[in-house]
Parts: sequence; C-alpha cells; structure tokens
Amino acid sequence: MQRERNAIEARGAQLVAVAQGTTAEAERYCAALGVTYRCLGDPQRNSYRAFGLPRGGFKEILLDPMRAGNQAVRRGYKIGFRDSLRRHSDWFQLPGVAIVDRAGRLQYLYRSRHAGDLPPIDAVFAVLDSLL
Amino acid sequence: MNEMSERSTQAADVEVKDSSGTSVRFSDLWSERPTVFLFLRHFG
Repeated sequence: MQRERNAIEARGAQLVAVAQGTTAEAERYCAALGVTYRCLGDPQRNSYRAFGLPRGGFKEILLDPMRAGNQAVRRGYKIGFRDSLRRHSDWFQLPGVAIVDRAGRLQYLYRSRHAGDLPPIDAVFAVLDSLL
Repeated sequence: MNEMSERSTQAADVEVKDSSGTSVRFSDLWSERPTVFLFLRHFG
C-alpha cells in the first residue's frame, strides 16, 4: 500500500495501518517495512473484531497463500513469520481493508480470505472516487 | 441496522494509542477525512 499512498491522498483520503500489538511495536514494524503513513497498534485487536475480520486456520494462513503463489510478493508485499508469535500477535488473525467516510459510514470492507489475499486496488480507488 | 453500519458503529469507539501515548478514537480519524484502514496480520 505504500506505493498507493499518493494516489489515496490525491483523492482526499488518508491511509492508516493498524497492526496487532502496541503502537510502539507497530511503528517499529512499519518503519522496518518503509511505511511512512500513520501506523497504529491495537494490542487487544478490538478494531479487527469491530470490522468482523476473522481468524483463519492453517489452511488460510499457510496453504492458501502458497497456492495463490507470489501474487502479493509481486505487488510488493512482504510475507514472513518473524515475530508473529509475540504476545500481542494472533498468528491466525486474517488481514483486511476498510474504508470509512467522514460521516462514519463504512463504504468498503474487504475481509481477506487468506493471509496473502489483497483487495483489488482499483476497487479501493473506485470507492474513494465516489466520495469526492 | 445493516452489517456495514453496525460495523462502523462498533469501530467508532475503538481507541488505540498513538506514538505519544495519546488515545486516538477511530471516529476521530475518519472525521478528519475519508480513511482507508489497512489491517495487517502480524509483525514480521
């Protein structure tokens, strides 16, 4: 998403990364990835639950991403397991993307089907364009 | 209430700490401008 940040901001929106763990941990992690947008930690994973992001199983965490090949890696995403067993980290938590407008309406919710599943960026842009 | 509005209602009150230790409510974030939340799976 780092590379899409400019396009998102050009549409008047902001990009916020939410990671499991404390904000300090999240910032260290995001800095290591070169993420320059806001990076917040949610050690209780309340936001994940609020948006209904599910936990997966071994299939969604290991098998499906392998089957999906390196699509995510080709798009610049990093896959790794280092530090995934930290205290605040739920190894089975699946990722996702949510877009909320200024009035607090959830305009888009993408619940990743497996650990390497990403939303089509064109869909994200289309939602943001509709909010202009 | 449909699921989308229910989800944003639940998320509105979620609070996390920023790097200075100040609480940040999710609803404060999106009240600034439309917000794309990228939920990461884990560290590493």
